[in-house]
Amino acid sequence: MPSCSRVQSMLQAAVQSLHWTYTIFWQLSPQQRVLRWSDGFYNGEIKVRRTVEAIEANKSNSNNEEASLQRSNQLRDLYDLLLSDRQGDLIFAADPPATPRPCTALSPEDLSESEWYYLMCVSFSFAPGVGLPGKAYARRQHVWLQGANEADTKTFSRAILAKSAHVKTVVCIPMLDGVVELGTTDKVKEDINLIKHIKSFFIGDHHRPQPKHALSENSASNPITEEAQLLLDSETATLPQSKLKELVMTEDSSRAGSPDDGSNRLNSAGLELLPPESAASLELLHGDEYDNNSEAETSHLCTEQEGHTHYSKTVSTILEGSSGHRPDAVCGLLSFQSAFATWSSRAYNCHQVTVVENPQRLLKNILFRVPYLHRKQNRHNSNNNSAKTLEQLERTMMPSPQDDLISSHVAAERRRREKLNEKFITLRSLVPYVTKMDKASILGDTIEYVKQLHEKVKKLEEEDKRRRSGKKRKERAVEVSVIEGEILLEVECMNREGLLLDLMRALKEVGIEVRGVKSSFKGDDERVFVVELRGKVKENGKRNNNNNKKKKISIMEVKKVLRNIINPHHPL
Amino acid sequence: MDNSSQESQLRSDNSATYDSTYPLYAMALSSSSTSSNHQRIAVGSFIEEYTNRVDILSFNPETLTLRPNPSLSFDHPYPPTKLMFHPSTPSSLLRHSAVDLLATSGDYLRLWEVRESSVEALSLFNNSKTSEFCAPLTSFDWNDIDPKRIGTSSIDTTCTIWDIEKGVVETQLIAHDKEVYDIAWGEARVFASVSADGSVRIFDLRDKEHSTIIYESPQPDTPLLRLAWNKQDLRYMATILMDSNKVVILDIRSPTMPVAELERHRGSVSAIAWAPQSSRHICSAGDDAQALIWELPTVAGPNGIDPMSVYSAASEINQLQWSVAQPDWIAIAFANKMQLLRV
Repeated sequence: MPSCSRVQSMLQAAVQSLHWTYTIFWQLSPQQRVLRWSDGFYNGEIKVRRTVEAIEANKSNSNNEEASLQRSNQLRDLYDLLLSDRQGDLIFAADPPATPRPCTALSPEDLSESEWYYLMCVSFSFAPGVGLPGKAYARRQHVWLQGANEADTKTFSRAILAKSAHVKTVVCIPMLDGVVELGTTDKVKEDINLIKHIKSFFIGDHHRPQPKHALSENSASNPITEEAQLLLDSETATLPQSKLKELVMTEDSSRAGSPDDGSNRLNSAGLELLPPESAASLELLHGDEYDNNSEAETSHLCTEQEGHTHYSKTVSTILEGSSGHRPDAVCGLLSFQSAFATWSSRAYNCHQVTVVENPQRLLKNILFRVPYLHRKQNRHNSNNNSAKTLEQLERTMMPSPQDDLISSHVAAERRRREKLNEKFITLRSLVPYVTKMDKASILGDTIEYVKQLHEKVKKLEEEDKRRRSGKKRKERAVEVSVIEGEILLEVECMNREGLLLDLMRALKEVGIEVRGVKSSFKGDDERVFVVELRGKVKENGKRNNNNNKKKKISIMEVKKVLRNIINPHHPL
Repeated sequence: MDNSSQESQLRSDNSATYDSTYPLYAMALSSSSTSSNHQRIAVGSFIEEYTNRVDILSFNPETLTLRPNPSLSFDHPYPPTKLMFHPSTPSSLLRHSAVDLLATSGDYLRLWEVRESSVEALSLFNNSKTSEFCAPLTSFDWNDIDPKRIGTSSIDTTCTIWDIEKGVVETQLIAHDKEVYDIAWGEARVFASVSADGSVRIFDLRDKEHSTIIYESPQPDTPLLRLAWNKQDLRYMATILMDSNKVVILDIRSPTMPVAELERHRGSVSAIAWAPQSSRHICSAGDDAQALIWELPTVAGPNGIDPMSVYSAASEINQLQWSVAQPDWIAIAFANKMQLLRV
């Protein structure tokens, strides 16, 4: 591609004059409006010598320029070859690699760090204003980054790459229809003269048709970049071991002035390849950036973190979506672990009607039968009949009007019993000396008590009779009658010694002349004296007072005298 | 009926099963986990003899372990008709915090203290004057707004409201013309009951003279066997009829006309439970060995309401409880097994 080679030659000339490590031409692709790797020239360290041809080249110490060019081409061809593997995916058929596949392959471990860096740069793209090239483009002014290897990724997205590659200075100059970038492993201070110097290489070709019109140029370059992008889009962290052109060792003797003599070393002793992990991470980083940058709208520099947040966001969105789709019960009642299954009318129709001989058997037993077991048990508590089966009792105990009758009987009997109880209590209170409170004891004690009472009554009655009869015997009888001076005396009394003599003497004293006496004894023990006295009543001379009246005694006086004799201690 | 061919596939991360040596009926889930993270589950046996048992299991929903506690097992005369843990922890009744209160019904209402390694009988509530007669209980409900109140339903047509702190009867009402089969609290002083007379009645303790019939079974005297009140939306109740595959949803504001009749079971329904965390969901289970979760729509389609989800067990499901403490777990009982299912 002549145009490319022209640009490349300019690049080559510029970078080589400066002895810088690399140069890249970023070109704005009109479709995506981003600056993409268009061309470049690698002028830096080369690590490995592997091929015979390389050895020969080494030996020959041939033209450094040529070697560098070769290297650059190799590196570029690396992409071409990578792209050629995916020729089917390409919209525009890339220009088939002019050169056949070399017998020797450029493998990852063959690349130096800066080569890696250069290789990785291909995958980058910058929207205007974004990144060093983008800023340079947007401002139409060069951007000089010193300490690129220590810059943060926000400033310089390839800082990590630069760090590994020891690229310390990067300069971007807007030129032509893009940006020319140059980088070096040296620390170079910003120098406006240098920029002018660089520009001088390109200005000379300003008469070249504008890149905008050079569609062919663009189209030529674009497919590559696109393909490269596509390739890297789908690329995972592995670099295919594709065959590449032979590596040619170069001796960068033109860089004599370069302070970094280490770059002249041919063997890889001092250079270690990026460890696979970091390479992978670089690629991943790149991939993130690449993916991000492939979207026109995401023009921001994508950091690793940003990529990860995006992923987590996506994951959470997916999860949220899936959780939202979780089959929730209509009411939110059922958990997804439910033992219950959703009811379906189909299953319902298939389910045949359950014909049970005894529907609600247990429930009916509980309600209809069990309560009556208790009743039966209660009534027959004394029977010690504990083992009753339901069948036995079922026949007898059925809920029926009989129960109403029974209950009324029951009530009547209860009342009767209550009455009896009351009477028993009363009885108990009447009987003294009751020791036990039960009904049998109460009755027994009462019987005893009544018997005692009978006895007592009997005794009392007898005593009473005796007293009365005793009082009658003690009573005395004195009868006196007088007819024409003739007196008759009848006395009946308890006998005592000399009673008759006393009576006759007393009569004599009162003027009664006793003419006849009849006496006897009577009673069970002949203690009763009975006497009949006849006589004449004379005047009572001696007993008179001073009156000397001679008076005949009266009947009353005679009785009095007699009673005095009979009862000397009991005057009437 | 063995529907093993249609049985749901269980994974270890969505279910836990307990195998008992006897059939189970009554079941209760503790409403608040008193210690660490485990929930206690009480299961009552159904043995057709005098000696029955209540076992307490521990369930850890994180590790999905379900293990019995042999020391927390006690005897009960005849099968307990219902078991229930205290809805919240009444501090006056507990002596220390690592204790659950469990109520059982049978011949009497009993309270038990379930401690770490033993169960102690706390109280027995007997309303009869003499020791000769008791009115056996078909069911009871523990008021979760006023936890000192328990309402019991009995075959003597009465409902008794107990003050369990004082141990006395608060009131006893003749609720129905026939045996009362279930009772459910709505508010602190409002409860409803269902009976063999086929009616659902609501009672207010502030006006004991009157009750409101909000539904009667279409075939007269078809007993209503179970009742459930939606605690999240007190307008709605659910009931089931004898020998019916329908779950009847009632709105207490519009009596006599059910709001919905859920008719997708292939056998009679034995148990219902409203979701504790949602006002529109209810679960039902029955003789078709299926547990169905329904979502009640605001407007029902012309073909009726279809369930939302289904679980098929190995045999008829007799009991269903939706855990209040862990609302994404439902417990069912069938044959000798108790199974916890993740919703």
